[in-house]
Amino acid sequence: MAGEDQKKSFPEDFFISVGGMFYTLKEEIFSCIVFAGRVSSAVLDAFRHPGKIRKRELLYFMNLCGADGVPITFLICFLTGFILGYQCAVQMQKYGADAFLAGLVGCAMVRELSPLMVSIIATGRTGSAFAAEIGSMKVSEEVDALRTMGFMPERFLVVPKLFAMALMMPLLAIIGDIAGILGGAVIGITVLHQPLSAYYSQTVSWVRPGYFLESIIKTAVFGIIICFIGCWRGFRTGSDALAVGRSTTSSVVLSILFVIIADTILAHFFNNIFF
Amino acid sequence: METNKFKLGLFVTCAVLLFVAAVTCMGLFDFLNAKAYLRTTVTESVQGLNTGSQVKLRGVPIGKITDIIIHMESKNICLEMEVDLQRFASRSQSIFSNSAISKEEFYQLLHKEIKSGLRCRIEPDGITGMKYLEIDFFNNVKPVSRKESPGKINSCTTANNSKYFFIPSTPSMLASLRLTMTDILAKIAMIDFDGIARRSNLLLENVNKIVQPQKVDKLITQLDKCVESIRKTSDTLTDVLDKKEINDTLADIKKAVNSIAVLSTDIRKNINDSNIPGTVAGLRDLTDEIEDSSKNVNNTIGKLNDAIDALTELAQYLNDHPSALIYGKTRDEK
Repeated sequence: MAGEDQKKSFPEDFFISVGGMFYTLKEEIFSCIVFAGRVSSAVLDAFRHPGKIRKRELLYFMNLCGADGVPITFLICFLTGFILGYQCAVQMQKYGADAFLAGLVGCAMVRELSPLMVSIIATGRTGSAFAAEIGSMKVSEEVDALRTMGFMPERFLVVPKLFAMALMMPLLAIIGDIAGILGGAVIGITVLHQPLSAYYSQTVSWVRPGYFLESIIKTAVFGIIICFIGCWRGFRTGSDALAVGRSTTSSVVLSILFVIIADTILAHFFNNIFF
Repeated sequence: METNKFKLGLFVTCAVLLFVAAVTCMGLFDFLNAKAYLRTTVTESVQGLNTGSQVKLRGVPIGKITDIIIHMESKNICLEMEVDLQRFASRSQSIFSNSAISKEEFYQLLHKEIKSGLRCRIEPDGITGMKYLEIDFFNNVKPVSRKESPGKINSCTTANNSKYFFIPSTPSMLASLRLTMTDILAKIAMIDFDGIARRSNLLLENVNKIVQPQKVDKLITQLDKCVESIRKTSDTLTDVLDKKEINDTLADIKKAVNSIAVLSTDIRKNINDSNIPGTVAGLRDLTDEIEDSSKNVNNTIGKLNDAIDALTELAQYLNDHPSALIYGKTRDEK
């Protein structure tokens, strides 16, 4: 009888679910805003007092985000350029538009695909690592201990990561851009039998220096987003054993979602304002 | 938390070098090169031509479109372009030097070439619908009519754009085709099809009036009669040919032919019997004799003429000297 009493009718159950969902959403949004405020405060403090930035940690995360990610970034961007070049070459050859392959691959890789690929790799490699690291600290109550001692945990745990990501992601994007163009060049030379000099001159005539600037700005923004979401999900980790895994998963999913949204906005921004 | 600083340093250095190399290759420092600024005016649509579209001189990319301005007063579109002078070798350049042409030198050269027929024209760039501006010598094309002379700073300038050099343009191939088609269509439109149709109707009506159905029927009837008559005549002839008279006639003709053959035989026999060679030889002798006689007669007539002349002279002398009848000719006169 007690079990039957606990059963809810359909409309009541539905509204409770919807209400719970919106309550959770509100909680998450509020926590995100609060976290953003704390991070902004810590970043401003770091700009005001650069000496207070923990350089050892900064270098460590720069190494983690940047140098360690070069091989996988190069490989994935090279293959992306290769695949894009191959698919386009097959279609463009039918219409005699072979000469445009270099421009297409160059522009697509530098302006869109390379920043996006670098960000997705960084989400999987770094964002999830940040969420797991901070989540583990949250589970072992290290974060609470810092707060209890009067420290601002964001200053120690987020600022070095944020700076490292903002600095290293553009460098990775440059390597990704070049790798993508090389991937397309391999197809241009082997499949379309274009001379390397012709492919190079076509790429140079189509890809503008501003596109590299666009790529750099985009990846810096994406890096900040990935770091912010990874750290935020880490700080939102619960206290149970499965919480770290959930935080890691949600950080990856949310990072990719927000990177795509940011890319949409930035693409519109760059196309209408700069180019 | 140990950091591999060598790896980090290598990564940062390589990435920065790559960035610098890439933007340099892509033309970040192109603004340092010497530039010339040209402007042209077109009357046609510039669909497919954008800011940044290429400008080519006989197929060689030399610059890009920097601005496209609609000039409402003249209803023309002004195209402003930037030409990289690095593409042009100086006249005084040696093989090993790399100096570009100066802007003034370029403008002078351009002015001379424009007088020789250098024009710019919008050309399609492949199948994508994009276009570029081609500068070349186009034969058999008339330039877009403009008041400005080549090289003069034209009226579609605004405030501080005196740096532009005007180069005339010609309609693109499609525009020329369209103009030709428009001319043809205008000429076709000038044909008075309504009038032609009206006159044709009038003509048909007149023909209908002239060729009335009753008259046509009568004509057909007469034709039928005529045909019937011819047929009867033909039948009659056939009947005649079948009768005996024609056989008799043919027999008479045969007899006549036989008589002619006999007559011919007789004539040949008479000819053979006659001494025609002897007669001909006699005639030949006679002709020779007549010829000799003729010569003798001519000689005689000549001598007679001489005698007449001498007598005339004697008579004249006697008339002048009657005493000569007694004394004869004097010694001196002899």
